[in-house]
Amino acid sequence: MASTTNYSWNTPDDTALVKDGASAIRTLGSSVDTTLFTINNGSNKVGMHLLNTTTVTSAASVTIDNVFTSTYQNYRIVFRPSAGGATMNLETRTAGATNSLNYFTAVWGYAYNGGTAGIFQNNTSTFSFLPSFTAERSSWICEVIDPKATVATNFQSFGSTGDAYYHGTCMFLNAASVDGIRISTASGTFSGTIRIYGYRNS
Amino acid sequence: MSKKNEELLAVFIDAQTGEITERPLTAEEISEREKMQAQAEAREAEQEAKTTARANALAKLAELGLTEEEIAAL
Repeated sequence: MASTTNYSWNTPDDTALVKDGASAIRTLGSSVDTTLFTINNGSNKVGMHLLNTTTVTSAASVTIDNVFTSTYQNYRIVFRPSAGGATMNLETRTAGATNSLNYFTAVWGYAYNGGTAGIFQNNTSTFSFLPSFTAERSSWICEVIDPKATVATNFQSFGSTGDAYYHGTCMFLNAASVDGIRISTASGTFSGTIRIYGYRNS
Repeated sequence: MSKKNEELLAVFIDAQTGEITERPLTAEEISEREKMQAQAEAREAEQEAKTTARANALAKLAELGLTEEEIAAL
């Protein structure tokens, strides 16, 4: 029997009888229904959608605009660097401009050798989320909460540098509605793939 | 434009249109980078000083005769 390319749903052969058409459509419809239900984790209301994939090579900064929209309230950024930079920073963007005020940051670090470190910034021009990326040993994940809200955008961040783990939070306390981000390094350049997902509310 | 500026690229992506553009960092952006790096180095130095001071304090407590358990209980 013929089948579709991606999910192997059964479809009628060219030589199938017309009288079996109703049954064939029912079978195909059931297959589509089952697959969609599975993709959506057993619900038709929840899930994450991949919104943007950006691969950067030897960049001092990368700016992704128009990625936060009214379609989603909350987002996740996943970054797997393939080459490092030092002192990784994040800023928000609004209508094509970088917001360079009102970042309140508390980041705690725990080294694999037992030492501790931290990044604490009160009302500064950027969110320093990691002291460095170490090529192919680091990763960074950041939840972005309510960037379109006009009170505050929250960032919940966790990542590793290759010799330590860091987690923390940043509050961007500004009335600006955020629609993008800028990630930069204060020294050298960085490479890797950044993916941004949107959480569905309904 | 200096060679250093040419090597430091800013990449811009429009998630709606998929358009990608690149340009060298501006003098202002380079200055901001240097400022951030100086701040990061100052933070690290402060952290290192705190770690060293703590280690020294723990060593002095040990010299006074406190056990590891007693020091940990402080």
